[in-house]
Amino acid sequence: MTTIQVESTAVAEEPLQADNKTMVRASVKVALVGLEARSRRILTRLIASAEAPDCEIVDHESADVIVVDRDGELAERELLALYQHSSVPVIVLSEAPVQGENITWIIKPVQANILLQSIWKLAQQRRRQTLQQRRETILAGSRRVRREVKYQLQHRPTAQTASIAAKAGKLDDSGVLYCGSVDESRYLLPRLPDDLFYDPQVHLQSVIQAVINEAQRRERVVAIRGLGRDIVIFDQGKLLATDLSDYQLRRIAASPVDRKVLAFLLLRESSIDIAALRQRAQRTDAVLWKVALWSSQGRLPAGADLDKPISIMAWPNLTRLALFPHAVQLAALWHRQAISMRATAALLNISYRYIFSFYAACLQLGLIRQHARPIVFQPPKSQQTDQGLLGKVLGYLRGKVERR
Amino acid sequence: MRHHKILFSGPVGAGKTTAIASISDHAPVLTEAKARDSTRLIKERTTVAMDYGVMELEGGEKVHLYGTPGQPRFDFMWDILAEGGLGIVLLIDNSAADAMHRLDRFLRVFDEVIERTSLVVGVTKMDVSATLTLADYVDRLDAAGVRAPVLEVDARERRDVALLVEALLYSIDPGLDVDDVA
Repeated sequence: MTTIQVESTAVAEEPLQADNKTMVRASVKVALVGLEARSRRILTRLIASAEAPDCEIVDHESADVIVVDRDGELAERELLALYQHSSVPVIVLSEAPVQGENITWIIKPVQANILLQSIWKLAQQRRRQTLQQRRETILAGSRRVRREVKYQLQHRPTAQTASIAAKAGKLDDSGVLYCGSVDESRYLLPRLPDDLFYDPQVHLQSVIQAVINEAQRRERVVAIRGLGRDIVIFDQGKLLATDLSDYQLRRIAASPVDRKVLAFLLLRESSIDIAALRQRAQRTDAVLWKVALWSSQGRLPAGADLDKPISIMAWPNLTRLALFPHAVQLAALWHRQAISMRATAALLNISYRYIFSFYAACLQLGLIRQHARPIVFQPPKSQQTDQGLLGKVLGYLRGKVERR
Repeated sequence: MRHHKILFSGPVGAGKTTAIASISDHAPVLTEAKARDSTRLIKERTTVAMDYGVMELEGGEKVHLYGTPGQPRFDFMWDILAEGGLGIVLLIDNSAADAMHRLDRFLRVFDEVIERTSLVVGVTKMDVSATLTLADYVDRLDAAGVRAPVLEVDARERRDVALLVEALLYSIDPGLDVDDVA
């Protein structure tokens, strides 16, 4: 029996705290199979280290990549054979060469950088395949969507639409913080599963919205009590102050709120230190936006119709709201034309998680409009230029501002 | 080598010069002079010809950033500058007493330019005065038949200005991708 030795000089002893940047990146999910305890410990530590900030260990059913120790006593050969026929790429750690479809062999002793690079490369390849399958699945599922996408493509201003339509391999590997981590394949089931819908009415967003309405109607300060710390809404419903951290708000928003435990208090301004509240206040539209995202987590508000054309009446104020991947792109598309969410996914070739999240947040701010049929409100202008240039300018701006 | 331009316009004091400086690769060329007319009530120095900045892209291409003087007497420069532009970034100072009137004037005078190019509106100094909301500007644009993104910006913040320009790019083509390079 041989154990795994990982040759690395900089494996952190303790898992690093995720900072904002890593929190919004989707992690690569790695399953470790057939490893004895010590080897598993070493690899787990490596994958939790600074050298692999975006990797996490999961079970084999939800893995992007599976790592198997071929020489370990615990390795089940039958299991390995099963993985050879699975769509999930397998990395086999072994002293002797191993070949097979969907298998990458890494010789022992394992070098940390080679293992991590292989994990990343294989995970990216798998995501590209998933994205390609997604577009094909969406387009194959409905003739009506194919017609709508064709119609929409005709209204793109630049000439390279054919190449874009053919292009499938985009990597959407961020947005987990605001758009959840639902497995991509679940979005592509013939019928959207019930658990990909949620009811905003029983979540924190509706509680806050109701209190904002009350604060505006009565022109009073209103506090919500019962969530651990008070949430105070004041300034005609425009501002909100609370000692709840974003992390705590996110946890509360993720599950239905039991209204029976909540109390709503009308406060007199004379009894409150408004100046102190202002110092830690957030705008209510920004709070509603992010709370709606945290409740949605890539799910769709109950009653939403994927096939009904929608638009937004105005852009959300994205310079003052939580940004997530594709939010600007979706705002531009839905402001320019009425288009269904299914056609949006096929046209832009982006994951439904971003579309559903954007829809949920826009709905909460009252920006969504339903239409009976697809409409282009604003045809392309004549001055427009090629996508190559626009893409470069976009890349320049994103490089200039590392906000994603 | 191809050269392209984005125009920054708006009334005096809206933040055009600052916005260009926040995303330009080089310190922008400024053509400021001591204000003499009613402008001096707003600020001591103002742009008298144009501001100029540049974004240097991969492959040597450049996008020139022009800030046009805000005073009405320089309106004649518009047609010349707008020719071949990617689009217009219009900045409106929300603290100005006649902010909506200034938007109206811009829409009226430059309707032909707006017709053939893309527009994005950045509303500045909303922290100074919030009498008018973004919805007020959207309504006014709608009434004029103009459909454009309207976002709150701080012209001193690179992130805000970059996002405003990003909104302009996606308004030109929502299917745009950062990988779509020629």
